[in-house]
Amino acid sequence: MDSNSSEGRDPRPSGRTPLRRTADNALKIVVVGGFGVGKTTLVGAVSEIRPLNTEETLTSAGEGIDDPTGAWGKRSTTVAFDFGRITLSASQVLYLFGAPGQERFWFLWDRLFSGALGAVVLVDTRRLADSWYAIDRLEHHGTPFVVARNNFGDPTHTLDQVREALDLPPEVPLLDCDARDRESGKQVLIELVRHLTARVEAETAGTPAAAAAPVLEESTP
Amino acid sequence: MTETTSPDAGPTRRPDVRTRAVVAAAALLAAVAGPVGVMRAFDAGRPLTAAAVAAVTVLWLIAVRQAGSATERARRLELELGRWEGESMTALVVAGAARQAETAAKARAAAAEAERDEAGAALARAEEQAAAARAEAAGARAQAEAERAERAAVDRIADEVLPVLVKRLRSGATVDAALAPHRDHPQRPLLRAVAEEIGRGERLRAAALAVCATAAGRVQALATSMHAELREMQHRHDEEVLGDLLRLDHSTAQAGRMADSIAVLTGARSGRRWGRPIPVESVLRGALGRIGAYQRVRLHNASTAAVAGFAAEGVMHALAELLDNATTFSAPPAEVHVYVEEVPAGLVVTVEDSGLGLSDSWLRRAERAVSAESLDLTTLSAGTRIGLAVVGVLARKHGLQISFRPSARGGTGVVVLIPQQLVTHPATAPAPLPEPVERAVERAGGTGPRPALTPARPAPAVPAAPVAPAVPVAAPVGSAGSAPVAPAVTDSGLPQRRRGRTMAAAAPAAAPAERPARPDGASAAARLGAFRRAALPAATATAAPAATATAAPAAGAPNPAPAGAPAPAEGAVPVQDTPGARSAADPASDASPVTEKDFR
Amino acid sequence: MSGRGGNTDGRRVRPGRDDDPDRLYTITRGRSRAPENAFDLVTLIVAEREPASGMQSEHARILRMCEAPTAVVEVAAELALPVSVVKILLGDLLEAGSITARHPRFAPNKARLPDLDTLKQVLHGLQQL
Repeated sequence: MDSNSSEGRDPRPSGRTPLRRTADNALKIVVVGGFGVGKTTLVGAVSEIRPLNTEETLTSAGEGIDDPTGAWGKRSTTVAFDFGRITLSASQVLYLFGAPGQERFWFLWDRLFSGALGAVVLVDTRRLADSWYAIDRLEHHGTPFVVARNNFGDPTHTLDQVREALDLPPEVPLLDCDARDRESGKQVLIELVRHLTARVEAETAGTPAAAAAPVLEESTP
Repeated sequence: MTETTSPDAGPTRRPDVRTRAVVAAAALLAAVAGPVGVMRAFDAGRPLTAAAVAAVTVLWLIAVRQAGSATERARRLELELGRWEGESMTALVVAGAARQAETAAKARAAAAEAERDEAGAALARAEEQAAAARAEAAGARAQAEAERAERAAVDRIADEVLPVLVKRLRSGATVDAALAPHRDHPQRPLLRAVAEEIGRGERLRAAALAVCATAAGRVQALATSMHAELREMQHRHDEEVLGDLLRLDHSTAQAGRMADSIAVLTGARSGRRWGRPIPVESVLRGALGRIGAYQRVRLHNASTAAVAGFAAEGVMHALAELLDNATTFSAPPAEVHVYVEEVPAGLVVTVEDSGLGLSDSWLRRAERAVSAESLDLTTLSAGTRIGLAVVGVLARKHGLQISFRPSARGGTGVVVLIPQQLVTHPATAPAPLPEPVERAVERAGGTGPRPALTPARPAPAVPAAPVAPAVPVAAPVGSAGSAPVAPAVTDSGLPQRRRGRTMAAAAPAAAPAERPARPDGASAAARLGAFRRAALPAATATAAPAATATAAPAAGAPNPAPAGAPAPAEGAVPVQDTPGARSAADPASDASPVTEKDFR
Repeated sequence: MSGRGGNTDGRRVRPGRDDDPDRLYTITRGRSRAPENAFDLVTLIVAEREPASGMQSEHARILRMCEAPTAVVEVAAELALPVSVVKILLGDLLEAGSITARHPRFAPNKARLPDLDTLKQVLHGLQQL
């Protein structure tokens, strides 16, 4: 179950892939991060369906999106969130939403975060500041989240350096991942769920959210 | 020649009395004067004188006697003469009469002669006149003939020359070119004058139409791009803004239809083309969306047929005009029903209103309007007729058959036949439902799908995100100066985040504004505005990394970009830098304590 | 029979390009608001009926699509319609009894954190991947 079978084709059908008829409970996890940090890649890597979106980039991918001259009226914004799906069990299905992390898309967040289990903040150390707003916002709302550094090849910085730069509290998990890799993406999600579990356990134990800190240590592999 | 003496004869007729008296007086005078003279002469001693006097007296007496007799004779003569004179007088009278007669005759003759002369002159004049009249008549004849010829020529001008000329001019020929075949026409100046006038009128008409068509085209283009923009926004925003966007969309669609109508009437191209067959449901809804009272229209359609892309726009526009009429003719609560039926000849769309119904003459006029040979702009007046004229043009263009009849619902029914050649019938079998996911996943090897999304995805040197933008390196230079403070950088060279700063920066004064998190309506516009405000500064913010690099070149050094990657934007925006970039950003953004609503 | 079965994918248009004659207000017949909180993005929709002849094509497509449970967001993506418009259409079907909705059991407004059971299932499911 751990290895990816490669049969030379994307097994995900081009059409829709229906859920099991027994599916009756859907859960959400939101992946946030700056443009180009790999959100869609991460969602796509773990999704059992081809990532769909409710809106498409209006210019060709990657060009003009962050062009400072093309903010409004040049139709160069991507507004959508893309999403993928993971069938967890006969009844449970997990939806992953990739959302732009910039503050100009805050209006999307209400929709996306409503009922979400938690969030994954995907960061790229070359553009670390792109994640600041997302982290601020998540902290502000008390939404549980983990931070994943999308990293391939030799990292220039240690995770501790990243944690320091991001000023992350110790209880917030921070881990490396390769957004293209299904297994790596899976580990990020598992990390988030463990973090959640720790928080819930801490809360049921009567300790406020901060008590999640000790759990963090164990949940960081 | 006696008459010359006759007037003198009168006094001599009665000489006797006078003669005797005169003789007597003379004898007495001689008897007295003689002796007196003789005595005196004797007395005076003059014997001779006495003798002489006596002699004279004697002589006198003799003379007197002789004079008497002479007088007698003269008297007789006179009588005779008198007789003669009478005769002569008579003769004279006769002669005078004769003379008078002659004179009269002569005068008459003269008069006659004069008259004759005059008559001759008159005759001559008459002759002259006659000649003139003849000449005139000849002239008139000639003129009449000329006129006939002219009339014929004019008739030819009216019947043949001008129509051809006008046609040429209307089809865009220059005056000279249009006149070329008539180089030798006798009425060439006339033709030229007319042609120039028509040419001018034609140019004016063409210019006016072109202006209208151009303006219509621009409005069409605007409406189309607004539609695209609105659709994009409709996808981006939720209910709060959506209602407003839909209203704008509807207004835009109606404005677009007006422009389309002008374009159709001015002979311009239709607004847009659809690159694929449009299902009849979409055709109907496309028509529906362009009228004001679309919510009163009920569609009844079970057809899956589609209208060819090249004709779909025209069909939609024609149906929109008919639907607009139908809703106009029926009072607001009444509904208009649209039915679709597939028939061998094509697709029949019936529009039925339950309005007051229209008179036969109106129906006939309407039918004429949508089937007349060609459009006559001068007949357009009321809005309805404009709509019908548009329908007529479109019907002729696409071969739509349209008829009007009283509706079973009490109002008017319009039947539109979309001919079969414009209709396609897509394969109706729905795509089979794909197999449920578990089976698909199992078949894929039991472990789930491969992560790779697209084989063509570029090498991993570039971050794998498909939307990885090339960080604009050159563009942000301008914002370098706006970095007020050197960026905070960690020892490891990473930019230092300060908790909460981005949100504080994004909404420095937002705390109070945040409270009414989602009031209905009022915030919709505000949110839209907020998005707009946010959009611009956000772009500026993303530009900031390079500014940082400029301000603190060392910041980027420890973290070089992977080979082939664009210049790293690693020296990201310093905290201090962000307020400048973000202060203008959405003030409604939440800086306030958690609002339940925000996260639900 | 009803609706447009064959062009499910053909209609996957890029929403930003206005190449669809259907204006959204004609699809919703002028409505812009779904019933309050009727659906979450991930509410699973299940069709209870076959599409009927003469049905609005979107309704028919939703019913076909939801023969297996399908999340609202998937329906929206499939129809290339905004989520809010899809919610309105789903509201029609729900009212007519043509669909049922399986709402997420993790009720976000009541509890800030999910229950442990759910988390365990999620964890298990993820580990099984």
